[in-house]
Amino acid sequence: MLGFLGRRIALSVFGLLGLSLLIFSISRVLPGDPVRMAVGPRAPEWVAENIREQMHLDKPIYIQYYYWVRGALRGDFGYSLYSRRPVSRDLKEFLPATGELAVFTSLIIAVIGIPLGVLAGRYSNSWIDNLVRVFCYFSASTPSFVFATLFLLLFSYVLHWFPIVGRISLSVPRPPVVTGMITVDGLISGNFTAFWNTLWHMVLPAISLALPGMAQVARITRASIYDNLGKDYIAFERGFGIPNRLIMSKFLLKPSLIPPVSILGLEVAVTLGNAFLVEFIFNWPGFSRYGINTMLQKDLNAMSAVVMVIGVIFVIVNIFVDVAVAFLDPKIRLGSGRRA
Amino acid sequence: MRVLKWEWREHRSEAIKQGWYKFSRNPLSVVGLCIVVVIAFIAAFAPYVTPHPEHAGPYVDFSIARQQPSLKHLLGTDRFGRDVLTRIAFGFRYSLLLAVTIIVLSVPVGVGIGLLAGYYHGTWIDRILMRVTDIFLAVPPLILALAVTAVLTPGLFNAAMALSIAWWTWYARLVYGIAASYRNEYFVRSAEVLGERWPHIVFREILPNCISSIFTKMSLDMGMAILVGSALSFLGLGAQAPTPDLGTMVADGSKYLPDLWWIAVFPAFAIMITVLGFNLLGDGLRDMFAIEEL
Repeated sequence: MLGFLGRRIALSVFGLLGLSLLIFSISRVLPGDPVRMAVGPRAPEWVAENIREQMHLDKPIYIQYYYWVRGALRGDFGYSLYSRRPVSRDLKEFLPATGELAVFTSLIIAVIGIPLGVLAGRYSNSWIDNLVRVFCYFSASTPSFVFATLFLLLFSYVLHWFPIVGRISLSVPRPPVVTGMITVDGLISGNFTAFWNTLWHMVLPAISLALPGMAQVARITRASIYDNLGKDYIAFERGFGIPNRLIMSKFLLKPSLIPPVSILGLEVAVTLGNAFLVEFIFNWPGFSRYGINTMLQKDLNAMSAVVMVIGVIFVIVNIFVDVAVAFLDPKIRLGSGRRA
Repeated sequence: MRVLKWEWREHRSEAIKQGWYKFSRNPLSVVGLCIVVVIAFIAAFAPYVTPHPEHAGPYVDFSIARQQPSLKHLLGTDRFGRDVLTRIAFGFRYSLLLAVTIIVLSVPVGVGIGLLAGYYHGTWIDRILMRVTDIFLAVPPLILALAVTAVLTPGLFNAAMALSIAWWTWYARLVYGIAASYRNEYFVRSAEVLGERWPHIVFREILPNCISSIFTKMSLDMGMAILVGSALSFLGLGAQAPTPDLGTMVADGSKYLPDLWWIAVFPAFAIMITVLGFNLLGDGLRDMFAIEEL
């Protein structure tokens, strides 16, 4: 298990190093002069020259890369040319909002997606299976931004069930900042109004984000439950007279969860990507909306930082997923059959 | 010789018949095929089947702007007075064009790398190629594509290129798995013993075994590519106005949401149906070829 984890982490570090090289090269082939774009056309040449020197843009490209990686390791991504603040400060401000949205989304995916799949697999070819199948097809075929737009129209503008945009109503006092996640801060400080209000704001964006992932998870859970139900060991347990409920909960569920858990990492990737659009639509003041703005503004430092941070999050999530799979699958945990 | 050819042809028509039987067993697959055919037809003949083909481009007529769906304009008109139905029909063109471009750009690269790495399984070639693939997989594809488009000038082709940079990895992974599993089969070994060079073994012996998986993945990916491509244009990084792109239309319409709902909602449904069609078709093909690894 430790060796498995060590090898996994070493590979991830290598991957991140490669990613940094990739992102760095993408951000440096930008046509046009980023310094000129930042200072404007009328600034005198010496001002541009100074900034260029500050950002090491006058040095050869490999030295620029060295400075960039050294800074990134210290959490220093330089100044954002767009917000004119250190990028790390922007990240600190915007990450928690995305964090709580992402956690809420993942909860919805797991808590609704897996049971749906289990039901559909258990009662395969019944009306519930067909219903789940239709639901999966539609959710998997609809971009998150389409869901977001339709939900916004239906539930906010027409039915007025949910707030239109933003993170918390202006009338609700914000709890003191501890983690930056309003829901958590609200619970810590006992400000339950803020907690419920933020949760209420989160429902529509989180559901729009969760639906595609939920469909995938439900589909894969269904397939794996269905496969395992036909296996000999289940027939044996049935023949042995073990009650159906016990078979379901004790013998069927755990091995059937391996495929859906192993694709969770992929779903996180899709969700992080979609968050870029959904936060944009719901005006959720998060990291992804910040990322979109930096990309639209061609803000080198902030853009590379955003992609790098997402890469790191993605890698960490995948390590956790691998550990969870190893926990579910003794073949991996005991190290006998390392999967290709 | 002639008999041989005839037999082969007979065999092929039999195979097609069997394939169609398997495919049509699931009515959903047939529905998917129909959706795809209809959309492809509309896209191909957009100027002839739409009521106002001139509305596809930079057309302005404020006297009929912002009209609700009516008999004259079945899906309403947008804020410049352009018929939404017409623009959706032309939008299919650009969606399909984008998806095809992505696939044409990314499949050869991904398949080539996957085949090579799979054939040289366990050697340094395999290690280098698959590590490079892993790097590209270390970041969500949409975000990588966004970072690349941000650097390029926004446009349909650049969006396709940016998405291809993230896309080929999936094919590399898929083909790598299959190629590595065939690497030690007798037919590959025999070819080696006969002294065939690697291009022959990789392309003539291993590749034909991957074709059905690749085609099925391509069909599923058409839907996925349309979906992700519309996301890029939604953000303004894809096709630029006045190109009638479905994602751009949703973005444009969402600014006028409660009142002019039809501008955003109908293109949104159009994206949904297109992607649904390709997904159903892809699933049908997967069942037909009995492919499990997708």
